[in-house]
Amino acid sequence: MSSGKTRSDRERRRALARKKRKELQRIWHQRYIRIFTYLFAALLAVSVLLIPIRPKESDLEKRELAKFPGLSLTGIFTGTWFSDIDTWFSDTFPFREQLLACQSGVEKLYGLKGEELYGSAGQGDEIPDSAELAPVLLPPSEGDDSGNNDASQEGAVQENTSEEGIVSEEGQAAEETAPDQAETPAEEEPTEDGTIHNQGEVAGTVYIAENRGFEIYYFSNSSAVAYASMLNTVHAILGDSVTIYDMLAPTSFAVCLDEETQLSLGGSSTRDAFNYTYSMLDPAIQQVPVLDTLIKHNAEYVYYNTDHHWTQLGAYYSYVEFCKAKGISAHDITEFRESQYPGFLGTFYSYSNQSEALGNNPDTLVTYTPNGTNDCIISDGQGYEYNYPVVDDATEYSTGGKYSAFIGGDHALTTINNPSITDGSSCVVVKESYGNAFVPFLVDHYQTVYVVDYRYYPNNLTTFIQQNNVSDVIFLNNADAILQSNAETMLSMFM
Amino acid sequence: MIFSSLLFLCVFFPLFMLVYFRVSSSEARNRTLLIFSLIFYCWGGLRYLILLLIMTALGFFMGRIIERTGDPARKKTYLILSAALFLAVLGVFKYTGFFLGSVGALLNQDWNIFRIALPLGISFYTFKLISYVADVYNGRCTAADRYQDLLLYTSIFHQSVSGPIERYTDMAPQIRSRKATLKNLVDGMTRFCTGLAKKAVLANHCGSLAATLLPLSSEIRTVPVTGVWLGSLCYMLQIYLDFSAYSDMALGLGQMIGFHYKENFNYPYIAVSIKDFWKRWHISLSSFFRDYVYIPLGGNRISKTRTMLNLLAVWALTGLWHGASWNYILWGLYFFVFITLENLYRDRGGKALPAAAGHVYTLLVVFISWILFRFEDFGQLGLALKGLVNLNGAGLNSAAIGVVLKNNIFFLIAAVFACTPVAAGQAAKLNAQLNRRIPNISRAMLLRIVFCILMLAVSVFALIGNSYTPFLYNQF
Repeated sequence: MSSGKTRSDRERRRALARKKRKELQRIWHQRYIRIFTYLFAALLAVSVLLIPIRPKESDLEKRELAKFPGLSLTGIFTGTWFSDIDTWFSDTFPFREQLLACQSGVEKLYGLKGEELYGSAGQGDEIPDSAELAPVLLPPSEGDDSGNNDASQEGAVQENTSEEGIVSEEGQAAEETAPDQAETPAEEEPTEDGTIHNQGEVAGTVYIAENRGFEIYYFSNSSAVAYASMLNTVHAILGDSVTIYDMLAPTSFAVCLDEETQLSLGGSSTRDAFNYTYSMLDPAIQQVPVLDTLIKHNAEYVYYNTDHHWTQLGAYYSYVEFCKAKGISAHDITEFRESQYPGFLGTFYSYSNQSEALGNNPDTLVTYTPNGTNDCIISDGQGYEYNYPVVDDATEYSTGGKYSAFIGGDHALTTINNPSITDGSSCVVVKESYGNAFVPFLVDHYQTVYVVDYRYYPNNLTTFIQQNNVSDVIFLNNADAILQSNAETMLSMFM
Repeated sequence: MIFSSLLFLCVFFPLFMLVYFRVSSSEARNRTLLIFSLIFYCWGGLRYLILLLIMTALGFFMGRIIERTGDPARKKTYLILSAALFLAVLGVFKYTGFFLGSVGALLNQDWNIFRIALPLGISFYTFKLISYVADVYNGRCTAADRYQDLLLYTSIFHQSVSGPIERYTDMAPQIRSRKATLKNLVDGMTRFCTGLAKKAVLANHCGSLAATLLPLSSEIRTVPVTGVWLGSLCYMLQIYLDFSAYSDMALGLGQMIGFHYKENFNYPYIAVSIKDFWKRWHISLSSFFRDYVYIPLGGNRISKTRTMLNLLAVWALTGLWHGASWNYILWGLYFFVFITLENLYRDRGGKALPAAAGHVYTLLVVFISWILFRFEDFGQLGLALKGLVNLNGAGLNSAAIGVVLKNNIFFLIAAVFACTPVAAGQAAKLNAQLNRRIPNISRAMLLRIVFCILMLAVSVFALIGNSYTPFLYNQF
């Protein structure tokens, strides 16, 4: 009897425990459901409430972020309106740059990071040893009076339009930025730090080693021929009264890495490419070779670690070479007022999504201010103008935008009048951004320096040169800019 | 919308869960699920939502007609009619461009302009509807009583974009009644978050490596041998991690609210033969072809030649299902060849390969198959295959490939690891241990929630990272 009692006692206790456990489980279940409800509600609330503080543009990426799409029936019908919301939502995610830094931190764990490679690896064309002069390309109507027009070869160049790595990438970039590019520079006020956010291109392949970035150079034969052709044509158009100088600027890839490394990374030899390009130029065009000078000085600070440009010191050594070619004496670097702005993290840094190697090796922007004047007039070439310093104080510039301290960045037309020279001398510099650091050194040698960025200049440059009695036209183009598309753009300014 | 988008994670999903938890009756929960699914589908465009509604309506009526018809011959006619209708719609939307392009090529005409935007998930829901009418015809399930039940089956947001192709026979009872326990919820969340990280962290980066090393252009000519191999490996990893991650997320989302979908992948890269591989790869598709094409055609109970012809048809269709281009058909036929060889080997009394040899053989065959799968352009495909054995003259190796490998070595090891059951096995073991050591089950669950949040965080970083598109100021 007692054993039976114990058994039922035990059973009762067990049943109680089971009930208790069940009850506990029920409570926990409810608690968890509540916790989850709060979690979901919090996630939702944060996502919706943070809409006002969503970023609108990215400093790091140098672009405007996606906007909330405007409502359209077609968009709803085809679904683009919905997917645009998707893009907007992720593109303008709150704390975007901080989260990008987190991702960069995660990616650090992916492998060994002594050297890094960003972007897709390409391959350059084989570089011919030498070539005949590149053909002159004149519009048919003017072809007869120029005299030395080699129209028969025109076809050969026109055919040579095979797409090449960098060209196609650049094409893509152009497509993606198309809406912004449609805006004319006229509507564009200079932003606070002088950086203009509407132009940019994706780099090809960036190689990082020894805490420095380099852009791998890929040679393109069609581009080299188109470029040389463009110069020969410009010479034919302008005639002998105007001296044309051509300065091909190497990037740090050719100057700071030995040739073996350049080739082993799949890159092309900049030296061979430049020699080949120069060999196609009309002898009347003054060549300004700067590669050897820069290599000689490559232990100095001639290129940035985190940016694809040369420093103003690199530009200075090239200026010395220009003076030799022109037969004038160059100023000593000490004759310019030097300023330093530390904390510059340039294009390589942003392209690599804030590579730690580069972040640990920030640049200092060193500027040399010209003596004659430090004022320039920036113009869109269509009547809109404002004044700006030739070399600005970059203290307040953003970490990524400090290179814009030189002539205020890239603009259609920048004019520098030096009041201390009155001989009527003038030159036109046809350039992309490498020219910006170079131009300040020319100020003390001409009464007027006109700087034309061919990507923005809207007018006929031949007319401009004739009207202003310009005697020197200086083409300053860096290795990566020698593209068929760019050569065509440059040529179109003269036609 | 896709699961691995921030909009889904931060707005759609929490909003859905909040509403779903608020309502308690199963009727109201199904209605919530349906409404959210239709909103989700809008991302493919309203026009294609309308198409989905019409197709489902068609399936609904045909199902009822087939069920009510007594005469077997007429029943069969209705079945064939409805399957033909579904396939016709699929054909028009998916294959018109391909068909015209191919005919145009024969006639030396460029008819490649006829491209129709593919309706979201049409390949999946068409197959769902076909399996539905076939199952009704065979009496495996009764026709849906209400349109909204069948619509929920075709449009449920867990499956509408990338499958799995669940059967209505499995789904219908769960639509009627299902039980969502706390355990289900946490298990589902873990599954979803693991899948999300698999997609956002692993698959996407594998994809960008593959894009670099195995470019979809004739530039592939210039990639050295090591690059082609490494790039193909990355693509092989990407395609499994991406697709299986999507299934993980679908299964997880279902589990959270009490659905139990069938597994769609079972570690295919540990298979020991091609047959074994296809039992583990995209299971819902291969079982569809088995049950609705191969077996109705007679299966293996007919003559050897007929069986082989049937297999040929099944594999060509499998290939074609994956995309409207000849390379997919080639890809399907490629598998047909190996499966036939394996069958012949078995019939001749060949012994199964030792496991190690079986793994190597299977992986190699599958490795090559993904190259066929990747290139729709046969010129590029040829270059890629030649690149494997240095017939393009691009050299054996380059420093650049070395740098890419070094930069990603730990990542690649992790990605390979993620294709094996090792990680999941360890996790299960750990889970069991935790449950034993920490008697209070909710604390073990808390740990899993922390795991989920961690996975969610790294996925969000990666997804933000994906939207990173730096434009370099004054590049030139």
